[in-house]
Amino acid sequence: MADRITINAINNTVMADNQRTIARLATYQEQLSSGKRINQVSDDPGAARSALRYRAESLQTAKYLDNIDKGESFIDASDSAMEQMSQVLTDAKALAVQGANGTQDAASRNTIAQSVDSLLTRMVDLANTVHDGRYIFSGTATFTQPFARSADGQSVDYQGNLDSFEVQVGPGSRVAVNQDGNTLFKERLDVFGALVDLRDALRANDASTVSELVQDIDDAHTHVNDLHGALGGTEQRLELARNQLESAKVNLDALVSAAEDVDFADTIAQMQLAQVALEAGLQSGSRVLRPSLLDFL
Amino acid sequence: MPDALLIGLSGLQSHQRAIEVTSHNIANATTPGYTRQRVDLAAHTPELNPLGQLGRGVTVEAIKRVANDLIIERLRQSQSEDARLDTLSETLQAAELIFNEPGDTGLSAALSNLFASFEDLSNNPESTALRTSVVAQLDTFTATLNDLGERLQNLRDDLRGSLEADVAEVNRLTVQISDLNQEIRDLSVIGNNPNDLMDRRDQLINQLSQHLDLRVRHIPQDGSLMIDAGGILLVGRDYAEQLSVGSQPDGKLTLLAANKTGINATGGGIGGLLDLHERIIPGLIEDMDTVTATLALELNARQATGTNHAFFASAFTSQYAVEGALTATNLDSTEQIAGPAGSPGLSQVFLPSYTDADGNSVARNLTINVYDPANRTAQKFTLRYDPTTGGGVRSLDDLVSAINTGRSTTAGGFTLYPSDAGGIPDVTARKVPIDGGYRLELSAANGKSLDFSTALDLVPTTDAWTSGSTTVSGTDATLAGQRLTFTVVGNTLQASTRSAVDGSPQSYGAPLVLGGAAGVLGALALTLTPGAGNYQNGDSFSVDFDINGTVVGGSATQVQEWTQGDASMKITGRYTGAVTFAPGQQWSMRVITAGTIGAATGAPLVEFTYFSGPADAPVEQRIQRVLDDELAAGSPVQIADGVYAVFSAGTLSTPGNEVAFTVDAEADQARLLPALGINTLFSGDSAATLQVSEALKKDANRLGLASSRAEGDNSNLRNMSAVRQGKVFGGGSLAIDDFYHTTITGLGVRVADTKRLLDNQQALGTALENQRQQTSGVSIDEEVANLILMQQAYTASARIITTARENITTLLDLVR
Repeated sequence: MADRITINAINNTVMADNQRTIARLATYQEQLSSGKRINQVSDDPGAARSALRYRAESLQTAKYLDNIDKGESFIDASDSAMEQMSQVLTDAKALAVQGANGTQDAASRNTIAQSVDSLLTRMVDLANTVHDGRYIFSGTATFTQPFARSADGQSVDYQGNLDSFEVQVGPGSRVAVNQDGNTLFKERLDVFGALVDLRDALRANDASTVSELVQDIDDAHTHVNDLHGALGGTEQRLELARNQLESAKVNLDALVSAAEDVDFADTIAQMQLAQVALEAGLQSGSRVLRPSLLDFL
Repeated sequence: MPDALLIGLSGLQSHQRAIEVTSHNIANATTPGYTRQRVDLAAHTPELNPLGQLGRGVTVEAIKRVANDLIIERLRQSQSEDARLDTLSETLQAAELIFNEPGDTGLSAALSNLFASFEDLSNNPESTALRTSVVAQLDTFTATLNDLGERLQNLRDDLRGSLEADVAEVNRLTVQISDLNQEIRDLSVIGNNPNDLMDRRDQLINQLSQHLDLRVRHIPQDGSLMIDAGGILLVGRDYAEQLSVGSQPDGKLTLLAANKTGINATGGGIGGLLDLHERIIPGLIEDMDTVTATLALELNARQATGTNHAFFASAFTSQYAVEGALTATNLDSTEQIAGPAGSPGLSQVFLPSYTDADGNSVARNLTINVYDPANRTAQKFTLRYDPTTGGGVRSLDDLVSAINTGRSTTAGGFTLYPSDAGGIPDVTARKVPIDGGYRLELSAANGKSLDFSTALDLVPTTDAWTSGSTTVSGTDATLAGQRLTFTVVGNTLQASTRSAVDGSPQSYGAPLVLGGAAGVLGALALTLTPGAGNYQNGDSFSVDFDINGTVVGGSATQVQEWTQGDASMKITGRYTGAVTFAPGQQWSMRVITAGTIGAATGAPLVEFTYFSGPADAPVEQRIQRVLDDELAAGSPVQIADGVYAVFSAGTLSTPGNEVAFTVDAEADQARLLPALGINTLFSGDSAATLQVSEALKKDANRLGLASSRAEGDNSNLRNMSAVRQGKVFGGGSLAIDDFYHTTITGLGVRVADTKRLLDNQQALGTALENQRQQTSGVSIDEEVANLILMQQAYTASARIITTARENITTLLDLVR
């Protein structure tokens, strides 16, 4: 017996095929209107996984860039303070050279001593620089004023700690952005001591000690400049990290987009194809379903 | 002559019948499940005649269904699979929607936001506002997890409802099919063809096959059939099985037969539901619980050992420990600590046994800092647990006793260092019964606060024993397994034990007058060397007794320590090395040359002894520093990484004087704190129950973001941030994001696969239905053609009758 093709069978086939085409059209429509190829993970699990991973990494990278901004503002504050410290020491050296000059007498040396003392005050103020509500030369004891002049004005003590304030600039990669005051002013070279000594020698009208102290001030100047340079190195490290992170972020965002964004040209072409298929299906369906023997009786 | 009339009549009747059947076919052309019927016409039994056989017309032999049982069977199987996949697809898509990834409201985003808030605070560790915002983020994160956990659980619970509805439907169908079986049999045995009843039965079996995977057996003799499913007879000749859903204590569901035996249902909607309820959804829940428990444990462990400049907690009560997470700790008897099942408390029996990677027992430390906010100094105590001692008889009481008295009540393996304190002063440990278990409560008195960090704000004791040593020897059975502490009070030396319950001193024996001869205390022989006048009020030392009441080691000698009146020293910072505390490796400072601190000439020379290198292979280091004007009073003197000493103004008088202090890298080596639930970030043990700790919610300053008490210290927060990169899942190969992504991608793959299979299955179903239509479907063309044929045959038969009538009329006319 030849295959019997019933109207039900044709109807089933037409309906099922059209349903599938319509479902495809709906998918393309959803993709085009949302701009996303993946609205649920099951739309493309492999690509969804990449998108999730790269998006998380991209957000993390944005955070690292944030951290670098914070770190740089901290460094900028230190940078400007240290530049002024350098200037103070340059001025101190000029005063020392002036005070060592044999033409000066006790009165003029005393005047110079007063200038040195105000430089010392200025230096202590700079060492106590506050940025964003924090003492920047205090280690991590950021609410503790790092330096205080003793009551007799003879010494300046460090009250902070030696810890580093670090910012995270990558997974497992940290950069210390602070310069603790102990290293800067006390441990390796007593900057305040040099200024105090100079002032006292000037007050005592002791020309030979003053001329000896010129070298100390010079050493202090070099020391501050060295650490200032090291800070520049840290800034460069941050800048390098920033460049790497920024290009990484661009790549990550591109990967996220490649994984989950719609390729409009391709999707529209596919959608048109599906539309043509649907129209063809509907038209052929209506032709095939209509006639029966009854039409010809 | 009448024969022609009768033959014509048979033709009329038969074709009338055939037209009816054709009409019935046309009327049911679109009825689902309808099987076309066919009239089998046959010539009537011929009449024997001497001339030969004479035809007697036509008769309807049977009205038959045109059905192909093989296709029906395949169609049924296909429908069963279709229903199973449909159930899976529907629920899995619901599960996928619960996760809502990728998106801004899923767990992925919540994780990113949480860790982003850590970074924000890390850049501004001083900010109270940001601390509050981290706690708010933690809250949002737990809410997201809770929502996820609860909705997955609800999804699973809802499956039970669907399953019960399905089973009710199955029970209804089996009864109906069995009833039809009966009717069909009754009609069949009297030679009837109950076609429409059989159609109806096939329809019902189709419906049944959507719930279960069936095997149908036909019984040709009487037209009835039997249906097997899941290894039992579901429908017999006149039997209908009634199924029910049984739940086990662990929440598992099984399909039960009427006699309460379990049925292994695999296919159909019920098979799909059971698969979802028993395997797929619990797998997702388990994955989310693993994410929760592991993340909570890792963050809890870091929070527990954190501190900060604003953190002054005077009491801790253990919270519900994250049970599942303990498997990842060094506690190898995790169930011992988890407490009675379902109870948030700890169990009284407490048998931690810490092992290294090779499974060998190792001693483990817990650091307890007693901080005095008024003078910003702390005392550091180390509670050391040595599993090789104590004989395995341990309990929570032993831990409590060690904190209160310095050692376990029995030989429990817990020892407190430094040992001369007797117990931790001002700190009381209590075992509080609650909810069928116990909670550990630690509280500090006299304005002290507690933490468990590596922070260093130590001021070594200034006790003076300048006049030689004091030796204690002897035996007193009443002191078996206890610690006796001697304290100088005025001109007497008073002995006391401590209460294991609350640490309060209990005086022992009468005070001994200092400076006198050797005294006797209880059953002890106590020997004091001369020169007792230099003892300072408040000085103390402790002596341990073994289980027989004998002074451990036969005698104990209190040696010279630090000279009273010398410049005090403070150890500060946060140790960044790797060496953990061991009793034999005390860090110390010794005076080599006496002198005045900060003096340009005649300054003291001191030597620090410390340990560096890895914790399991410490290297002893010594450095000497001259405390001259370069390192004036108040200057931090670097000892090791992150550790420095600050001397106050004054002198160091006696060469050879030495102080020991405790420094360690790992404050809670065995993760005892998260196991006990002390000072944790979270409480709860599953995605649905995880909560931010109540104490933290009340006071965001409890966030242990630092390892020291410096305001700008963000080191512990960075440790917390690093948890995200930590490969703590999948046996140490996956980080939290990887693990979570694997889970949801797994779900996504499953959803996509199920959808694809369902598409295939539906295409197959259409093809099979078309195949069935080929045989059993009503073709209108065919039926109309048949109708015309039948009509013509009917007309012809009528003509025969007309002819016969005319013949008879002709005959009768002859007679007239």
